[in-house]
Parts: sequence; C-alpha cells; structure tokens
Amino acid sequence: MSSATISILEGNTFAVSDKRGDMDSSPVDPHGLFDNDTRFLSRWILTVNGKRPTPLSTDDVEYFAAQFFLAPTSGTIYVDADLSVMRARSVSHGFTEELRILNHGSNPVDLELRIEADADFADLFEVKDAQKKVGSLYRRVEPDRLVLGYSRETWVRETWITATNHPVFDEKGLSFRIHVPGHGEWSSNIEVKAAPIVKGKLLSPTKVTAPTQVQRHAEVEKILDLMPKVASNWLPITETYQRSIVDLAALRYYPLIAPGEAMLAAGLPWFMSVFGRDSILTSYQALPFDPRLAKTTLKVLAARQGNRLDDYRDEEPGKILHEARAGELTAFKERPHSPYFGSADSTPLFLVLLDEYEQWTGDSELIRSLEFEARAALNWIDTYGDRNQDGYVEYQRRMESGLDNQCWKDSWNSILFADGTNSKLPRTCCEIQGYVYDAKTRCARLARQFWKDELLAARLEKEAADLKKRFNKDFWMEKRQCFGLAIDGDGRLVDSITSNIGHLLWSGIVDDDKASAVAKHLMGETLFSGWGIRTMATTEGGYNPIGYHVGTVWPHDNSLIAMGLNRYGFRDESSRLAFGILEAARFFNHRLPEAFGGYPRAQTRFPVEYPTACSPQAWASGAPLLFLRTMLGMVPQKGRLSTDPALPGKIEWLEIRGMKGMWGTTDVVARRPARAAGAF
Amino acid sequence: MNITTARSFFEEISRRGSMPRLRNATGSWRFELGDEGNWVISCDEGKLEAHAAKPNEPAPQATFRGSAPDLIRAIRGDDNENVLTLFMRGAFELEGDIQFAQRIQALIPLPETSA
Repeated sequence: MSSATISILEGNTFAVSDKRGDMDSSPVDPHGLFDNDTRFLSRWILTVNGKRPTPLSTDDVEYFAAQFFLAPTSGTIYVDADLSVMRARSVSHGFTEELRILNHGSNPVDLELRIEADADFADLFEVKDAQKKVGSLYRRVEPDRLVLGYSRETWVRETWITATNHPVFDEKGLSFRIHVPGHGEWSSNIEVKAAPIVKGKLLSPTKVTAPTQVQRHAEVEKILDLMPKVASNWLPITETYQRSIVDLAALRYYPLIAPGEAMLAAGLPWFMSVFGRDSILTSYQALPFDPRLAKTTLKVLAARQGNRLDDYRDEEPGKILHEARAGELTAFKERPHSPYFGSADSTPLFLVLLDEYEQWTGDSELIRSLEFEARAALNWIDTYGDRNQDGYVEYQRRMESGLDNQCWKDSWNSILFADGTNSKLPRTCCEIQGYVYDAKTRCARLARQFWKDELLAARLEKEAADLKKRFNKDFWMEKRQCFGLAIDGDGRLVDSITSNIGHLLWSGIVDDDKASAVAKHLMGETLFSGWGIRTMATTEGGYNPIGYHVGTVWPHDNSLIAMGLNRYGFRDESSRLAFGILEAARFFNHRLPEAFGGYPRAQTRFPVEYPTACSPQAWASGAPLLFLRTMLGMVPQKGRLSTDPALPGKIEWLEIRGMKGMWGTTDVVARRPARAAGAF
Repeated sequence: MNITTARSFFEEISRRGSMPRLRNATGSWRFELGDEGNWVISCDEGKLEAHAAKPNEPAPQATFRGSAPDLIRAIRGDDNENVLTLFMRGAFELEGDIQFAQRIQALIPLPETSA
C-alpha cells in the first residue's frame, strides 16, 4: 500500500482512504470499506461548498481509528484558514465518522457540505480486475438513511448510511446545509454500516463467533500487556517491535472457517483472510513472544485439513489449506476458496511449526492430540506431494482456476531460468524439499518422544537423510556454486540464483561443505541490496527491482534467511542482515511492508516502496520478532533456553524481559562485548 | 458409494460408524430437510450414529435447515458445492453452536473412506 493511503482495521473490517479521509477507488488505489472480502463502500468524498478541502495532517490514532485535519480551499494556492474540518473515523463492522467544522472567524458562515457515496460491492478478487457484476446494484433513499445495495439470488449486501444533524439523502450521497456561528462549530456523527443479508435476515454473529468491539479492544490491550518488553540503546528496534506487536494484535480476526478462534489475517488490503502458509510462518516468528498464536493456528489448520480429493479446490487427504475467503465469488463457486488448498509448502511447514511449538512450550498434550493430523500430513507428503514418486514434492494445479505456482513465490512468473524464460509445470521448488527434510527430521523426534512409534521415527530419519543426499546432488550447480531454484516439468534444473537458498539453510538440508558458498551468494551484492536480500539476484535475466517475486526484498523471507545463516554458524552475516532490514523499517514508520524495492542501498538514501505492497502484513510484522531471536541466538534445547548473542554494530545492548517458555519466565540480556558483527 | 437421497447418506454414516477426525467431538447435528424429514447424526468422540429424528430428541448442538437436493449436492461435491458455500449463500441456515456445526465438514462432502 502506498504511504499516501491511511488504513484502519478492526477484525476483518478495514477502511482505506487517502490523506483527506476520502475514498475514491481504482484498480491502483484500493480505497474503500471492506468487510469479509466485500467492498461495502468504494466512494466517499467530502466537499465543502463544492470543493475538496486540503489535507493538513493525519493521525492514525490507533490501529482501528484515524483523524484527518483539513481546511477548505479557496480555489487558489491559499488555504482559507478561518475554517477547519476534522474527520474522526473508527472502524467496526463499518465505520463511524465524526465530521466537525470549526469556524475560527468572528462572523458566522453558511456552508454546503456534501459527501458523495457509492458502493461497487466488489469481491476482493474483483478489486484489482474490475469485472461486471452478475447481480444488481440498487439505491434506496429512506427518511433517515441511504441504503446502497447489491443482490444476487439469496446473496444481498447493503451499506446503511445514517447521520445526525439533519442530513439530506439522495441516491448519490448526503448533504448538509449548515450555519456555523462565529468562533463556533458544527458536527455530525455519521455511521456507515456493512450489512450482509441472507434471505432477508441480517447475518449477525452467532454464539461464539466474534466478541464485541469493546471486548476485542480489551483483548488486544491484554495481549499487549502480556508481551515481553524489549529495550535497547538503539531506539528504532524498540519502536519497530512495539509497532509489530500492535499490528499482529490488530490483524487478529474471527474467520468463518474458525468461529470463536482468532486467527491472523495475512495482510491489508489484499490478504485479509486466513492463509495457511502465512499463519504458520507468522506464528513461527512470534513463538518466543506469544506461543498462543501457534497453538490456535495449528488447531484451526488441523481442523480443516484436507480429507478428500477435490480437483476444484486442489484438496487432497492430509493437505493443509492455502487460503479461505468469504466473498461473493467464493460463495457462488467462481473461486475455489471455500477453502482453497493450492500450496505445496503449507503441509510440511505445519509439521515444522508443530515441533517448534513443543520445543518452546512443552505442550505435549497438543502434540498427542494432533497425532492423527500430523500422520495424515506426512502421508500427504509421500503420496500426493510426491506425485510422480521421484522422491521430491512437486506441485501442479488440478484445474485452470487454481494457482500456477504453489510455493511462497506464487506469482505466475516467479520460477524463471537464469535467462529469464519461464519454467514448466509440474515444478519441484528447492525450498519445499528443505521444508520436507526439516518436517521429517522433526517428526522423527515427535514420533519417538510422544507418539511412541520407534518404527516411524526410524523411517522418517532414514527418509530425511536420503532426501538430503539426493537433494545436494540433484539441485547443486557446480559452476555457479549454488543451489538451483527448482526442477521443472521437463526435468531441467532451473538455474536462477534466488533468496530461496536461504530457506535451505533454515531447513538444515544443505551439506556443510556447501554452506559457505550459499552464504557468500546471499550476502554478496547481487542478492544483498544493503537493506536486505532480494528475491532474485541482479545477474538473472528475470531480475526486476520492483518485480513482485523477482527482485524485491521481503522482510519475512529475510527473517527466515537470517535464521538459516545462524543455523550454519554465520552469525555476523545473520546480524548484518537483520540490522539492514530493521534500518529499513525506520523509513516505513517502523511498520515493515510486505515487500520493498530491490534497488541497491548505495543508490538511494531510503528503501524504495513497492507500489501495491500490503501493510500491515502479518509475516512482515513478525519478521522483527524473529530478527530479535536471531540476534540473541535464542535456541530452545531440551527444556532450556540457550542464548548466543551476536549484536550488529550500532546495538550496544539489547534486552527482552518477560519471555515465557517451558522453562518459565526469563529475561534475555545482551551487552557488548558480545561478539560484534561488522563495523557499520 | 452412491448417495442419491438424504436417507442413503445417513444410512452410510451409521454404516461407517466412526470418523477419526471427529475423535474430539461429542454432540449431535440435526438436519431439517423439508419433505425428506428431520435427521440426526450423533457423535461420541468420533463414534457416529445417524437416525430419523424422534419426537423427544435431545436438543442438538447445531441444526441445519435446507433442502435435501442442496444437501445431497454438497455430500457428493456436485457442482463444487460444500457446506461453506451453501451457508454463505443462505441455502442452508444454521442455528446453534457454530463451532460444533463446522465439524460437519469432516462428513460433508463425504470422503471416500473414514481415514
């Protein structure tokens, strides 16, 4: 999202506007009021005497509220400073907006206020690619409200607009003719309510669906209160951490697939939904700080694990879901997201999280209660994941409506050869094999320790060892001294150099004698921009510094890579990487976006925004938490927390207080002369 | 497995007798299907039994109301239908504990086996 937009959110409802507080949607500017994957307001534009006021200042007070300060324009470069306009907006199943006009002059003034209102009821999938709606749009002016509506068979969505202080409604909005005394003010409380209606009845939260706004805010306050406290001489890290934990709390919502359970939405605006991969990785990042996220994620994903073959949804027995949506296109089966299972990595990652969760919390009860689902996930890997029985997990969508790429770089052109040409399906991505290796190794421990199945444990250990041997031979590019990105449908090794090799380090699949070469690529200038590691090296034919998966820098990607560098003993490199991303965070008001440009740091004083990046994005908000863990070298080991700090140059000391784990509550404190990384 | 009527679905549930995925579930789902009657599936830690609803049936945890043809389509997965798409379009109404209601997805669409 451009920094020119203001986003506020509350559960699954969010509002995106410009800095005036206006919403004027377009495919590039996804403004509007959104609730459960439907846009309930696409136009909301305020004029004063026919002109749009000039923005003076904006204050996103809380994650769910913002204030906009404006002044009417005089039609020249001068602002009419005798009047101010204030808009205070707060989100909850719609939004409320207090509109205030203040007259700073001595003379009274008569004004005409107008808010143009419209709703396209676009499904989130339609927001970027506007399509003709199948149903009918309608407008209805009632004595005390304006109703904007859309109906398609039994599916009805309405937006109800009411206001105090004598509004006049028409089909295109509402107007006020106001008289403001000298040194006086006028105000109206406007309410815009998102009203999903089925068979004439308003869909309201049933028992155990969602708490009230007051309850939710209290819940968020409690979560923040319980979070460990971070302090450092380098203030940006504390500000970024604070921003992260607020955003992670704000992104919690109660999805249709998991009523009563708060899951993380993946990112605003495009991904305000449950994503298996994102939920798993964000929970992993946040484990040392709030393990409840992981527990909920594991339970919800297990409850909706695939248990049949469904080509339309790419569902297979044992598979973990990719994405769930609640909009019109999903309801009418024009999109398969009820839920959709098109990711090949969510399943092994589920197992990785399951083991990691137990290592931090000692919650053996969950491990035992999810044994059935874990075994089903392991079976999926061997049966459906390895569809051609070549010893690797590959993916290919079952239908044209499915995703082309089912790895984390899921855009259509992310798996390119070094010459920039696209590869063929089915694809065997390198990092997924790493996840499988890690999953099997970890599940061997779970099988032995909790499921009391020594045979399974031994089998998994052998399979993991065989996979590692095979992988290091088949994916290694001797000439480039690096692992290839994938093996494609023609059996060719996709020879690009990408950030995916960092995930290989994270997983532990890399042979020790290859690790240095991999680390050298990662921290070399073709991958490392100075801010972070690009998704693709600058030497590759497909590289584009603002290509979504082929040159931008993704914070979550870097957080896993930093863990990987740590794993193989590259502590200084890991800290340098963590510090680069955390420095970049300062330029985004301490909220790391989904991705930013891969331009070299030497070329710009600041990281370049990626135009339609989500913000907040769950796994970008989780990245600072994982970087903290990395810099402090925190590793759970057999019921104890071991630490081995490696602080980057500007950080003299770093403390995390109140960190909970199976060892109780502990403080982690690192001060120089802890090993220093670099001199920058 | 050829489910063409509501009765044949409920009979199949009883025949299978269990669903490991529901091993943590205890309660009952009630189905009110208009002309095809009212039915109950009981689950006791994964053990399943289904029958036509009796007059003094204990209160279920969740009740689904809709048409039998819609239900059969979702059971068979015809036309890409499932419980969620029926619910989102209002083809099926739900009353009761929505968390428990969601567990029915282990049975609808009906998997080939109970594994």
